[in-house]
Amino acid sequence: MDPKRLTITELHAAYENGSLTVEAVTSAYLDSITHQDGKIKAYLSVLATAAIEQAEALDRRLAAGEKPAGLFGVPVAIKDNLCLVGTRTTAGSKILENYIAPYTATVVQRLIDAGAVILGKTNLDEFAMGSSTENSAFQKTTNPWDTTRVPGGSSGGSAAAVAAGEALVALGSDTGGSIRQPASFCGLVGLKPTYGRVSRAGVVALASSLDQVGPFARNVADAFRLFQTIAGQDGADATTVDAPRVDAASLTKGLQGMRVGVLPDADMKGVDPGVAERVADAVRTLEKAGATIVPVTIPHAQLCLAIYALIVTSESSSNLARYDGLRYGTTLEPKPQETFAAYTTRVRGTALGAEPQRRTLLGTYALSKGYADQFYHRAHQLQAAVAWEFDNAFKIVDVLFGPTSPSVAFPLGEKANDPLTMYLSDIFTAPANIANVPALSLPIGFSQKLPVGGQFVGPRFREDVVFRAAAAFETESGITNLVAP
Amino acid sequence: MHLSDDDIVKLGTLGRLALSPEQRQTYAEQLSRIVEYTERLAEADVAATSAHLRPAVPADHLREDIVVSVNADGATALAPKREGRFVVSPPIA
Repeated sequence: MDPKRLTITELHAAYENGSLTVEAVTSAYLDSITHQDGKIKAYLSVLATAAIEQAEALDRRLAAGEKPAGLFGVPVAIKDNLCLVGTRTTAGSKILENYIAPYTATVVQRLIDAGAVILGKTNLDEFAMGSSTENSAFQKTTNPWDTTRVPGGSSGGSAAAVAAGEALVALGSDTGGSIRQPASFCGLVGLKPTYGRVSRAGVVALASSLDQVGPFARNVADAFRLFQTIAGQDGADATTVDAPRVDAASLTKGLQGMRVGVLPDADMKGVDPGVAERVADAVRTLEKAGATIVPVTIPHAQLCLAIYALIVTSESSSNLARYDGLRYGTTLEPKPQETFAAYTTRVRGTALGAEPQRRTLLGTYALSKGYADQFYHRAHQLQAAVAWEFDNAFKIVDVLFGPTSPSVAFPLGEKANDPLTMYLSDIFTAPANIANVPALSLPIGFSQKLPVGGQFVGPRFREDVVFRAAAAFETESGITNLVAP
Repeated sequence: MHLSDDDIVKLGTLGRLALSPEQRQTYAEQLSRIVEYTERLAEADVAATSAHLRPAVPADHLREDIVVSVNADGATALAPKREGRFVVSPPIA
């Protein structure tokens, strides 16, 4: 029995009947990292000693008669923009290369409290800015399905770790698609929860009004378990909401009676034919399982990427102001008579990568006097319009379904020098962030021998509907627990 | 709209970024394309929906304003230079 092929439920059964120990499972994953990660480059830091100590402590609890539940003994990878006290938290940036987190993010603490074993911190596009993980200051993560291709981004390290069997599940963050797009490229389930569902305390901010933390897993039930663990109001994040918890019964309700909205063909323009075919197959599967298919249009959805670009760059240019070489970040030796402004300008010019610099420039432009109304305020006005259009759609249907990304994983380097083309990778994912609704990507088949992802989008705080549709599709299609070759 | 080299110099100053002439040229080209892409927002007609609009994200839910102690030593441990309980910074003009 390869412990790395087990689901969380199967793992718990093995712990309970004594056929596996947490230490053995943790060691199996650490071995996998040792043997494969030189090629995959999913991890920025591996916390082997702490993971083994954590595993041994859990085994003592098993020996004392504790029944495994929650995330007990589950090896987890976390994106390196999530703080874990005493460990390096780089956010993929040279400017935070030596930053040691002085506290632990709420989501990470909730994992630990639920018995998870933290294997390490995973690679990402610098400050989560990107769709390929090529913008990391440290390394380029590869896709376990084809190592000449990107894993997607910005949570590419977390996705690659799970797809390569270097973690059972993982946490990422999603501002415009940074969980769902890599989940799609790596054959995984990935969820962006409703904004306000999951705490952002201890998450290195990209765009504070859009960022959400969510799970990666190889099946819907494991993703659900991870989501349930991290969700819930947090006193350390005033934007979290005391929303009703999602009932696990949602996973077994099936599709009978559900109305599923799908995009009209005109909105599928630019989608690779192989992806469009798999989406059409998936719609037939949904119908066969009892769903009623309803064509739905979100009139201004095609504007979401432009709205996203302006809101994200405006917020990120403000958030990145703190990396000044004093409060945070790399320090340089001050020159004689150098002012603080000149010093900061030199530090940021040296230690911030191209994408954070681009977004700082664009955000500063969008917020500047004379342009703010035309760009930033207009983007917010249209964001509200898009949210209203989604609300209207959910008066007609229970859930929306469509492609997660217009393509399968693209070759490394293909879009690296063309930021606008890279942004367009998020054309189908950004609308859920802009409308502030939950969205889940799951594998729906293959094209060019690479995984294709489909996306369910539900009403605000109705993750139950999204999980219900996803679990039913997974059961009906049999596409689950994919293993990269 | 095309962003000029002067625009990038100004934005670099405001955004505290020291940029080489090559970087400025690259960013001017790339950002001009992105700004041009976002200009489509000006053409959108949402007058029909404006009466229904509200913020897409929920309002903040503020907790009680209670002072909690922070780990001052931990927070300043990464400072490049310290004198006693103070952080030494470069001169500020």
